[in-house]
Amino acid sequence: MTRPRVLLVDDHRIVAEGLKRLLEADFELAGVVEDGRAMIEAARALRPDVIVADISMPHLNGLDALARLKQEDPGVKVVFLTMHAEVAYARRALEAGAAGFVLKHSAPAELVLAIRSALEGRTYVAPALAGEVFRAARDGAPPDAAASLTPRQREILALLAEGLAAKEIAGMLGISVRTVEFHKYRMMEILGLANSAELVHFAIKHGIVQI
Amino acid sequence: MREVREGLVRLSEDIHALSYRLHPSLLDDLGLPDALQVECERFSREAAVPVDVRLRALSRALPHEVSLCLFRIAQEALRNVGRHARARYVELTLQELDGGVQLVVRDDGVGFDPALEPRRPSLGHASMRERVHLSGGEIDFESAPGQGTTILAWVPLEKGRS
Repeated sequence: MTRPRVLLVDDHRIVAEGLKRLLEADFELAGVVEDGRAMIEAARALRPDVIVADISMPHLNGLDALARLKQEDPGVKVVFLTMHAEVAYARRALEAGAAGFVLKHSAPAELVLAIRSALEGRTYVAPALAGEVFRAARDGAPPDAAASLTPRQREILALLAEGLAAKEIAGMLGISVRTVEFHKYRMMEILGLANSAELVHFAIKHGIVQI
Repeated sequence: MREVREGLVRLSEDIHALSYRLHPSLLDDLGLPDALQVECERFSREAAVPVDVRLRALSRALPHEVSLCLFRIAQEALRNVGRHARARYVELTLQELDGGVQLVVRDDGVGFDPALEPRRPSLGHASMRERVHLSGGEIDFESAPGQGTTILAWVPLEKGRS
């Protein structure tokens, strides 16, 4: 019997190494990458059965990477493994179509359980958060300002919040500097923010980037 | 006889519409911002899609070449929205930026996958790109399936500056 193939995405090498050990008994490791962009590339190239990913990562966070992968392959299975024990994160992850949400300080067996659930087409949420997540879903979630941005705007916002200059972002995304500038000012308008510092603050608060 | 007359009226209307597309006197008469306003209203009526027109004051009259280039881009962009996008909302922005003028047309329609474009190039996009490059400017197309499309064009006020 072939073992399910898992792709690991975490920018902290020690965590990734630990995960490798933890999972190798039950799963075959398809690969290990360190950020959201690499996650998309690796998912395309390696076609893993499940992706275990961090949320806060450089360049492109796990949530936005998942959103992109979903467009290409609605059946893609991503289990988030994160230090963020906040309901807002779990809710965003589930809205983005995550197959699981596990906390980094959970028992290791929980991750294995979440991966198995994902393989069976179910969704696993860390018990510590599950109650609150379902309560929030039942009571209706507040409108999400971050959702009013386009995917490209969210991408640019994440890079701005990482401290990159418009020119660097333009080079990285292969677009013009003026396009980056347009989006920057448009986002400030849409979100009702006065300057770049507030924009960065917004990005952090809404989990678009973590510093 | 009546049929012939009606046929002629329709023909003359078509020719008028066609010549308008080939050379918009509107643009010479009103200047780019007002011409865009009129064009957006026309689009909005025909396609039944509201357009939010956001015109920022320009510091001076634009060279004809710049106006014509951006007007054509806007026309092409709106035509694309009308044909393919199934949008519920369009936003058009015109502003001075960085020694030039920037036009942005965004819709919330079906979008497209940019990764597929090199294999199936869109004639509309190619013509827009060509037009902007001839004016010494730059253009970006942003889209994803289901996420709408944004076209951002910038043309320098003085050619050779970019």
